[in-house]
Amino acid sequence: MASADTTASIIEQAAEWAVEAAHGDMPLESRAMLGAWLAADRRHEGAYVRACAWLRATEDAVVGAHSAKDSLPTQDQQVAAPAGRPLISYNDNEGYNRSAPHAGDGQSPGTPRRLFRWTGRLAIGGALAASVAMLLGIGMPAITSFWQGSAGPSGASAVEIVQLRDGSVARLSRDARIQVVLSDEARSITLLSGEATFDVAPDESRPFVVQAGQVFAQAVGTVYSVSRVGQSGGTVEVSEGTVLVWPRDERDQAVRLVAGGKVTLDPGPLTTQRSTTSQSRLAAPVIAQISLDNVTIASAVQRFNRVNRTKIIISDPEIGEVRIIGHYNANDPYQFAESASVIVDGYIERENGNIVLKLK
Amino acid sequence: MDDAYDKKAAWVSREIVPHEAAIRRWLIRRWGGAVDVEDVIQEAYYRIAKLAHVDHIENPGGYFHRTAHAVASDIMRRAGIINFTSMTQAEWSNVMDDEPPADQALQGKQELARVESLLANLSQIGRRVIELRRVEGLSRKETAERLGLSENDVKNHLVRGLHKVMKAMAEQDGMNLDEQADAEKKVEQIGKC
Repeated sequence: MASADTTASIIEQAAEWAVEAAHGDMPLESRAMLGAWLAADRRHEGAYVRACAWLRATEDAVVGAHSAKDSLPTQDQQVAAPAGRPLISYNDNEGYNRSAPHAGDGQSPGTPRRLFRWTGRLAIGGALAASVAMLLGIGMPAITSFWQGSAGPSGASAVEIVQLRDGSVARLSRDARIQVVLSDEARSITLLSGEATFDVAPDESRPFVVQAGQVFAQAVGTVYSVSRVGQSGGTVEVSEGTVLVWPRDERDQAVRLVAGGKVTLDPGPLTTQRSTTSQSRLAAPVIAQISLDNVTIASAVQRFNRVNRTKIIISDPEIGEVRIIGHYNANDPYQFAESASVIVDGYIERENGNIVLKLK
Repeated sequence: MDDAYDKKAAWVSREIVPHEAAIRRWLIRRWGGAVDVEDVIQEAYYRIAKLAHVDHIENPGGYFHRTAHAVASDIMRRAGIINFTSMTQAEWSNVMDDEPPADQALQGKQELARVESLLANLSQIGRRVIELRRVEGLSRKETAERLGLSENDVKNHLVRGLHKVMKAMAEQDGMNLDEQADAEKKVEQIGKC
């Protein structure tokens, strides 16, 4: 194992080479030296790739910040609209087409839609503007917009329907304010205030993630509703399909909700650890965990099958005898089957809606 | 070679770099001081760089995870620590399973803070240098002339910035290398937990 010194100096040298390669007009001689350096130690190459990647990420950030600065006010002219869709205006000035075509139920034949809802209120911080710029900064070709479901003369129940450029429809309460960032890779929505129901146009290549407070929810082909709890929390209820819900950056702890599932997350304030209202005590996910402490896969499978409609089938008794350890969401047999398959060095297949564990 | 590296670097910077913080946290959390985290990460980059194709990787974050796990396992194995597989296998599976599928949207969100600190680690000049090259397409020589610096200064600003960025990245998530060295002595215990 390398000493700390060596690791640090490798990182330094790698940084130097990465810059040289990207920003220098590298003469042949330098290329040869780089080649020799890379060949000298396999860790050099890893460090070099990493440095190049970080350099590029840094450059992208700079370029993004630069172009965000330059182009934010005139975003519209720079970003080509997806063809053939009636659009709301993406100007910052609240002007948008109020006669979106999907008023009413927002259903158009032949276009299955996903429906979910965020509700609640949220203090709007200054961090927001920064986050917009930064999203651009990451180098996504992003469209940014703000608009307000500005109050009509009608009462509190009034709902404004707007169509997003990706074809999704948002229904906004009169005090609703959302921010939408669409790119080739993602659809990122922030509910700043009020209440919104999203009718999500399916597009698997661009995940639809809604943030309210410190809670994130990603539609994974789904019908679900979300409501805010307290300052930073939220409740997600799923009526169909699957939703991933997680607080803050704890994506690796995401709760996978399936039909009938409901979870309340309230990460609470970031700095102060107040345990004030009973609401913020609702923090614990309602999703049951199946905790396996060195039990056989066969008995674990029984437990999952007892509580899930999707059954796990063990194709080879040998698999059932292997012991397994870990915590799994009770409502996600697939998740469990996947890791069981890894442990037995097997694989899983979907058959008639069930999950079959097989040996390679 | 450079083209290949360049292409790979583009992919890696887009798909792998954003996961580095999470991987580092995971390595520290799950492997404690049993492995040198920076070594593992570097080796993981190496293995990814050695891939002939990356097109088949649908979930780069997961792939990075898996690779880092394999690297850490290899290191443990080489160090002759036997009693670690059952623990880490389960832990690993657990981690992998809980990870939602690729969602760049969130990744982007989480990356905001990082990118922000990334920019904060660059000097004004470093930033300008990058702008001049990437936005205006100037060569290093032209950049140096424009900024009234020597070419070497231009380079050094970038190297320093990049080094700072990577160092800050490692430090903010992990323990520092000294602590890690200390922690290495605890390998036995950690291996058995």
